[in-house]
Amino acid sequence: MIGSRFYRQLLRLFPPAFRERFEIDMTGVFDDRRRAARRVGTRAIAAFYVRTLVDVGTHAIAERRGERRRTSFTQGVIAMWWEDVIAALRGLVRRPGPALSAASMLAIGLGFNIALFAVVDAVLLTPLPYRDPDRLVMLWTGRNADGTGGVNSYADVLDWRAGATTMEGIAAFNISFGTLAGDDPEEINGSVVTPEFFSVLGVPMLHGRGIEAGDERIRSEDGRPIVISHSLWARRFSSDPSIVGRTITLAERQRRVVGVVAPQFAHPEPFWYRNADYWSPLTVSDEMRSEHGYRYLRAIGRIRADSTIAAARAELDGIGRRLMATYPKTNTASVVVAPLHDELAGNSRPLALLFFCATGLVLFLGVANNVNLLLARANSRRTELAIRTALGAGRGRLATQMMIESLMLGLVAGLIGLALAHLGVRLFLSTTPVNLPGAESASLNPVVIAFGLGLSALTGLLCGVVPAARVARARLSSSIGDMRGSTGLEVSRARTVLVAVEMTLAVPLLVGALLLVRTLIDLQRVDPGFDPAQAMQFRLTLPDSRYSDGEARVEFHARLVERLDALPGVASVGAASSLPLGGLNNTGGSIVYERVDGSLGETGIGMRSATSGYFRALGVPLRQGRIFGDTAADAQTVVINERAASTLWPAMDPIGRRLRFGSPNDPADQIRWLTVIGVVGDLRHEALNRPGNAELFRPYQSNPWSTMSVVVRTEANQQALAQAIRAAVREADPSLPVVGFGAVREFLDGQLARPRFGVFCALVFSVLGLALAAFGTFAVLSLLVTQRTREIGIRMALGATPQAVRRMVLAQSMLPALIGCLAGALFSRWIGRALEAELFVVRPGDAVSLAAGLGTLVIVALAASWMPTRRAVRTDPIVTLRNDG
Amino acid sequence: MASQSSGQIDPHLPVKPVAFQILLSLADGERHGYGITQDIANRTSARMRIEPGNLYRSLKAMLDAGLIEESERRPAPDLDDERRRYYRITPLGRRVAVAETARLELLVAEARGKKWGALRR
Repeated sequence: MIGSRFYRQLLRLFPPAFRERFEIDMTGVFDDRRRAARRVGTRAIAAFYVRTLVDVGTHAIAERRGERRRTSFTQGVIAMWWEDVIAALRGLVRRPGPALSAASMLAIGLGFNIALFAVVDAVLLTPLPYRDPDRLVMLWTGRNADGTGGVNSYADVLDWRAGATTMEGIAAFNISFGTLAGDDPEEINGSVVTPEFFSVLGVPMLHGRGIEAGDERIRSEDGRPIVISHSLWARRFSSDPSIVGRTITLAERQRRVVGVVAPQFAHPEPFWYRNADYWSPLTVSDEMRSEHGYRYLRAIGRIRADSTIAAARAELDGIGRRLMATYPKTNTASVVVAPLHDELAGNSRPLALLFFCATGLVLFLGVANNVNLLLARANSRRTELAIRTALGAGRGRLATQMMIESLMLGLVAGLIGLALAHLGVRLFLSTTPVNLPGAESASLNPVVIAFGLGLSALTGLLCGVVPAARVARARLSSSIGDMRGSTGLEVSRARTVLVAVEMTLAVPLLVGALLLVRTLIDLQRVDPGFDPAQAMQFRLTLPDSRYSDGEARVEFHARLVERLDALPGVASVGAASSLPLGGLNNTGGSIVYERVDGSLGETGIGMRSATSGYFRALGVPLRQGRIFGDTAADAQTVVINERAASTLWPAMDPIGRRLRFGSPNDPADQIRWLTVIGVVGDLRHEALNRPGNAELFRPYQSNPWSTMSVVVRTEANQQALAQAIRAAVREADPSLPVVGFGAVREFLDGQLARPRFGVFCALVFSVLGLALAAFGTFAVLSLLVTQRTREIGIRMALGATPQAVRRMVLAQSMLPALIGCLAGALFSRWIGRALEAELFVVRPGDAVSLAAGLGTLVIVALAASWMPTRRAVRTDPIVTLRNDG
Repeated sequence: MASQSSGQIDPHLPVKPVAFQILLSLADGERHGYGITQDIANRTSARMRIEPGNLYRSLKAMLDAGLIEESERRPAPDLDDERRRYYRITPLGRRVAVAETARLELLVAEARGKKWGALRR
């Protein structure tokens, strides 16, 4: 709310002497009255603020005027302004065309800015749904190369808790998922948490309680406590309040529901699914308490009210460094303390800044065009203004009138802009692939509307400043005798500068868009290493209770493959522990391999378990050797990818060579060598814009994981097969939930969603920017030709050729365009660097994009000049000169 | 202002409604700014509300005209906020208020003597 600080700012409107004398007292009265209004209610407060604004506005001006003339002007000034407002509105209604076209240019820019502000307001400015969210921090052990936080060990967290005096509490948690039993078994995401989790976050509970100390010691046979989300409660338990105390079956284990969290709570998960549906106690083993190398936990802490984030950073860094000294093998990085808000908003802050630049440029282009139009109008109104001056209107009065006109224009544009923003926010929310916490609540709330109207008023005033200043300076009285108004060079030079500025601003928009377009094209050309067409996938997790040993799992998958293979239209079926670009289960480890000379090497590698049909089903090409079969004979074999082959045995035939898990010093009786029997093509496993890592594939029969992704390649229409595939899984095991059923193609689309969205936005911005710059060029040149018709007529009468006239007019438009291009080229280096994180293959300083951008702009400038130039060439000297008489 | 120190009343007439209300408020004793607005609101049943900008501009004009003055006396510190200025009416202000009252009385008497037709209450 607006407080006394704002009021003191407002009082600056009064003359300094007055303010010095009364500021303290006035603020006191303001405070008293505000308090009184607050006691009455919201409407009284609103009315109070409106009255305050009007009071300060009118009396400050009256006081300033009174300083000079010692008479009260309040009434007069208000009446005068009102007159101007009415006149401006009357002008708008009488000739809506030019005003509306001017307003719509501003409205586009305003609409973008308001929509963006609505999203930013929801994502970055709205506090997180926790108690005192500003004091919550995520704690990481170092940072990974991709910017994600390094996970922590429970032993670390214990040491932090013991040493940190700046923290009120530190909770640890981890991702979790499991199958919720019922008529319709469903795999749900959740989190395992330490008892501190609920108190550190201040989780609001709807029913029951949170996870408490001691819950982790309750065995699942006795109903280990679990807290469920509001949405799960509504979805699966029909919002039944008696759920508290009931037992549910999750991941084949009995859980007693002890609480339901309030609907506004959101799980603070930075990297995985945020739609956690349950929280259960984290089981802590003795090993976890002592082993600093068991790293898999996220940690969240609350800074004490009497401490600061800087103090917490310094203290935990000290603790982290001590741990590094004590446990050099396991603790290789110190502690990172990051505000929770930053972690959850992720990389949206630079993105928001980039967007604000783009929307700001579009708005500025609109303003530049409007200044141009208003200048032209002021010019054509010289006569009117001169008459009014002659009748006694002061220059200040005329300037005020122009400011009020453009203020009204800005507000009309703002109303259109608000409507555009309303549509824009909805469009943004339905198209954005960027995961922004809280973005879904973006709307035109009162704050956003106030921002929009404020920005509109400011924009309107900004548009009016230059023309008003010109009117105030000009000696208009001389214009009465000069009704023809050959305006001379000064005005046109100001507008020429504006055109140059518009070009300058349009260049970076255009170059940025081209960089993103090239990125998208390159990304779409990337060969992911598999054939996504006509392949479907889903995930299955075999519960330990019924598939306790490997044989049962192998048997199940053999049965499933058999059933799926039997379906008409299915070409091939396979399964793997982790699919490329699927974003789950990226497992790896270190292996030992035999070099040609018999020595041993050690390296890290990605490890997957796969059935024999997996490679054919996903369309991964076999380069050398063969794929393992599903038989015991192939149990000790391994298939590697090309990257692994060239890393382990560069320029040599890898077939028949041996590798194993473990370390080089393993005792001889524990060594089990695996033989390489085949090499497959590289897969882009993690992301489309990152080349594949070294990978190895182990046959499923010797590596029977419980969670596997099944791939089914179909011959034709896959949609028709979806039901049959689900039915086949049900036949194989009726209680298994099918998770994430969909086309493999969707993984690729997911990878392309963000660049596609970027291209879409950038194209919208740059096309608008170009259109506005083109319009500016066109308007200025048209005006110029009109103004110089007489001159052109004389020149032609004296024998100037059409070519010469064309050259002369074109020079007027192309010179500012070229200057703008040069200046814009400098700006585009900056925008390229700002976009760097979004680019793939193409470099920020890409010459092709720059050249294409500049070329487009020159062509647009030429096109915009075409009409005015033609009109100039067709000038009939006789007509012109006759009119002159 | 020229009339500041002299005891002439006429140049101050007619008194503007806001200034007259302030004079009425200060007739009974010293008040600070908020006290004046409260008193005026009470007396007029909230029909007349004075915002701080209006109030202090009027106070300034009245100070300049010598109708009121700042009080050097303050109530006991525990009774009120010390930073506040208190105002009191000057002898000139008192005389102007009386003269304005007489002027208004005359005006009212004159108005009562007219036939207002349907508008008469």
